[in-house]
Amino acid sequence: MNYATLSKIVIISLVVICTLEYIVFLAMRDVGRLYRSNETMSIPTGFLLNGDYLPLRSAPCYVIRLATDQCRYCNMDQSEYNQLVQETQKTGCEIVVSAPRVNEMKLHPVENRVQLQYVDMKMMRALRPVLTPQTFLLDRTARIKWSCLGSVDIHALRLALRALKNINN
Amino acid sequence: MRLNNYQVLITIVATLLLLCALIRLLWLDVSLVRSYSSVPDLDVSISASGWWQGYDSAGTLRQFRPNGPEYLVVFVFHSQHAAADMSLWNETMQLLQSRLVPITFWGICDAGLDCNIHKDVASFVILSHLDPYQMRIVAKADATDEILIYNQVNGLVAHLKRAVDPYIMSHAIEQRVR
Repeated sequence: MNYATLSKIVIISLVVICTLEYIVFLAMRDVGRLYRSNETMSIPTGFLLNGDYLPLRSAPCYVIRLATDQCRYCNMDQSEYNQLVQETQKTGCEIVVSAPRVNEMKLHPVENRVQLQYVDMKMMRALRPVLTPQTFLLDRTARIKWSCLGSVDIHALRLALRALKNINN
Repeated sequence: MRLNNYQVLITIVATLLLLCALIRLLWLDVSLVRSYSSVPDLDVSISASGWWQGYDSAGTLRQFRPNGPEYLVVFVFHSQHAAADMSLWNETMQLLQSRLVPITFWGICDAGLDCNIHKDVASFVILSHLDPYQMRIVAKADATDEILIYNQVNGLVAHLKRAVDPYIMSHAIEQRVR
């Protein structure tokens, strides 16, 4: 076997291995995520912190925020989160805030924001309350269009606003 | 075919680049496997802190806060198979009625308030809503077709495979709550 043939075999083998690895990477990238884009959650319904029932209702989009009063990271991104809330409310989105456990959030009456405490199973089949804060932007059919685990930073906010724009178009 | 020096050099560089790509992709794959295996989620073996509490289908807040020894059996009441679930759990409850240590049965509706129509037929409590953490634990157990048994201090006693036959189900529960 001469040098040229050997080189060809080596290069073709490497290309094949790289392609296979890339396929594995693409396949596993989605599997490893806590949430997948376009995964369907459910329109949040349930009992609010004040005991009222939040019925199923239609909105162009929903922002779900999982946070607690004690969590430091939940307070760190207030500026970005509030900006997201303002922008989404302009388009009629509904803002739903929830704490993973009872007594982890006090009643903070804010206009156009509901504090959901007791949720149904449909919602929790998709939502994993393993860390706070978690912020989601859902479209009118409750598909996840954007999600952020941890504090919302400026980059995440930009992506959220882009997703909001796509929802509205 | 003979290669000139330039072609040899190109071949070596291309091979090295491919090797780098291979190593880089391998590293990405390994880190993905690592991150996948460490995806945090609640395990049903972790007992929730605080009391089990939630709203029943009538909109009343229910709590499991017994004063003495008592067990709580938590299972999912499937709205699509309501008749079968109703019969299973009503009969299981009946078979376990004569026990010294009482057992409370909570059926968690998988469709919110839709199970409301079954509340008069059920011998057990049907809950429509729990706090997110507890609901996730129940949903995760249901995904593997399991039911959960807690003791009076909210410690997880067992997670059992759900049986179709009430005799088998009651026997399995009986074994764990002696």
